[in-house]
Amino acid sequence: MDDHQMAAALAGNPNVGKSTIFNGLTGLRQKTGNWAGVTVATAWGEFTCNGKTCRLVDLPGTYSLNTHSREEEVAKQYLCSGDPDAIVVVGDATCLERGLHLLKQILDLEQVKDEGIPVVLCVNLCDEARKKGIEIDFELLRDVLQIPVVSCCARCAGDLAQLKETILECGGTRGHYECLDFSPKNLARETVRYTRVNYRKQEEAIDRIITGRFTGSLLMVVLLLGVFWLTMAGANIPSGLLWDFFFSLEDHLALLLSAMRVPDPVIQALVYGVYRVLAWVVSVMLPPMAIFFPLFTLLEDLGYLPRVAFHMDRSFKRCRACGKQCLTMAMGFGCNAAGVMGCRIIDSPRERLIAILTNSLVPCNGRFPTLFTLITLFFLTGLQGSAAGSLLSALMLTGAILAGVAATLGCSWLLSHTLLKGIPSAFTLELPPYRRPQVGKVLVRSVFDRTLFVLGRAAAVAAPAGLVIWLLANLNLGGQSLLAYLTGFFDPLGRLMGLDGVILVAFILGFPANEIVIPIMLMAYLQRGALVEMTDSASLFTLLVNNGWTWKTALCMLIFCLFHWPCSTTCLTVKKETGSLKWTAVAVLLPTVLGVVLCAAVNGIFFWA
Amino acid sequence: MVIPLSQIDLGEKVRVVWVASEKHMADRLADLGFVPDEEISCVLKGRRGGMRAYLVRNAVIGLREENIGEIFVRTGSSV
Repeated sequence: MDDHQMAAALAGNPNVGKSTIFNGLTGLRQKTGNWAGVTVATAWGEFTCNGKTCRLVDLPGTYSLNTHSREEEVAKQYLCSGDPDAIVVVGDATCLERGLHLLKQILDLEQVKDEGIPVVLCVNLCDEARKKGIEIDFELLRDVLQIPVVSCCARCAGDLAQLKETILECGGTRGHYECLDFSPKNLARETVRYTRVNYRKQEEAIDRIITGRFTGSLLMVVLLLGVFWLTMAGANIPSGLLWDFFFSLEDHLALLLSAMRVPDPVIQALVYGVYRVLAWVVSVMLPPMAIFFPLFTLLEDLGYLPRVAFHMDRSFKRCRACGKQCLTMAMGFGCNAAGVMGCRIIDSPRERLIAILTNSLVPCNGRFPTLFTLITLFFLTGLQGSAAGSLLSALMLTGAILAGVAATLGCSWLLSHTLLKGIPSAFTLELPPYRRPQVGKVLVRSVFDRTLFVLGRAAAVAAPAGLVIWLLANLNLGGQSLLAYLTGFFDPLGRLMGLDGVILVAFILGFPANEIVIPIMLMAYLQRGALVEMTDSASLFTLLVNNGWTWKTALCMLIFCLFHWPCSTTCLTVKKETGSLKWTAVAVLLPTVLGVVLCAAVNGIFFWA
Repeated sequence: MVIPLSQIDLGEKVRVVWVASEKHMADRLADLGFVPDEEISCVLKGRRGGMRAYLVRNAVIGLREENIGEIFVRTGSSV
């Protein structure tokens, strides 16, 4: 056996299940999605068959190699780099012609022609085609193309094994494409047979309902609210269990450390500072995300989300933004950091930047409990627990969400008329066929790719923040804690915004995670040394009122909770995605300025209250 | 008869004659199959002023109103 490891490139149109094949071959969990553009940077993995190993490079999905989008450039560059020993072109059995167009372009590449790099055509989604009554004459396809053609449904293991063998077999061989000339259109016409004439009827009927003028909007709102409700209701129990588990460990941890003769202040700082904040963040953050993201991914895999973008594009077009922004916005409801990451699906740089910068204007899971608490405490007095109360609180929460959406649209408009001036870029949106999602895979993928990723980043910031919070609350200077000095310092600004110093400091110290804003606030009001939880709403209400709260304070805090700087995780993600400190600063300043101005305005208007 | 794509009805089958978009968009449309002589049909009309979707090369592609007006198609029995 030679030492040279074989390399194969995986090319294909967007949304043909290329990444699913890649995952199937390599076993690597590279994220796949039911729309174009999930693979922007190239991913690679390895597979072994009959003792031989092959390095497989997953190229971004492209419609052609002609135009100059970033994805196409990446794909073309790699194909011409001389690295691949074989090229696998993945096509969709339900629209073979498009795949053949790309195949022809790849065979026409000079590098491929001159070196005779072997090319394999893999016709994917054959199971889907069969269901739709589409039959493909593979014999004819092989005869005309004179290259190996593998039929494949990415979910069948046998097909993948055959694909592996075919790739390894053709490594080291030479293809001869000089005499190969075919018309993709005619070839597709000759090899594909539609046995059911009206196979698209059903899908078109569904599409008409889903994107209908009224039904579309209604379905969207109902689904969104349904996802929220499932997330909030479903997260309560696991959150409580995690909470009990983590906090039962707290005292054991302290005992263990003192048995190891660690000095007492250090134990206090580590256990009641670092550990408590970390446990807090994990137990309130993990369950909602572990529910929200699988649900979202499920809708994505089903093919519903591109239809939402289709339906909503009109509103975003008016703000000179991209219709796909409504999807990243919806993802922001789960977690703004994930929403910012999701902006990769937007092709044009200007629109992508707008989506990134405005993402934190919608409230994420971490802010919902705060909004909810404020609404029930101050605006539903006397209605708690009744049916009218729960309906009213749901309506008010919806109002808060709509305010976030309105701010997103408004700021998108503002950005595209000031900082990011420009005409809307070319926007085409493919509506893929509906596919039955693979529930198991969805779960694994969304938990690993989104939930744990976000949680990891949050935990990394929460630990040091816990230490800082503990130090501020416990270091005394002239009989007053540093925290008291800090809240005193911010008090004038807070008052101007209808808040007070404590609330403002709670938001600042809540930078690692919005979940701990209220606990920090309570800690400061009660002058305790560690985060405090209050489950009894009556005593919470009394405490707040005793500290000078009125409904106006609650309203201003509601606004500031909606519009303030993004959490640390989101900031890190913005920095990573934009690669620029300047845009990260804009992402911080935009919502902050909006929040401060709105709060000050509300405070001014209701100055008598 | 040659008319802008925006004027065809739901389900109507037409052939592309000419794409008048600016270069970047035209290239993109060409990749998707909006090239002369290609048969396309309208499958979704959506909201007024919003996107519409067309079946081209057996895939459903959503386009914006202003781009749809830049695509000219031939209708009638000559399809």
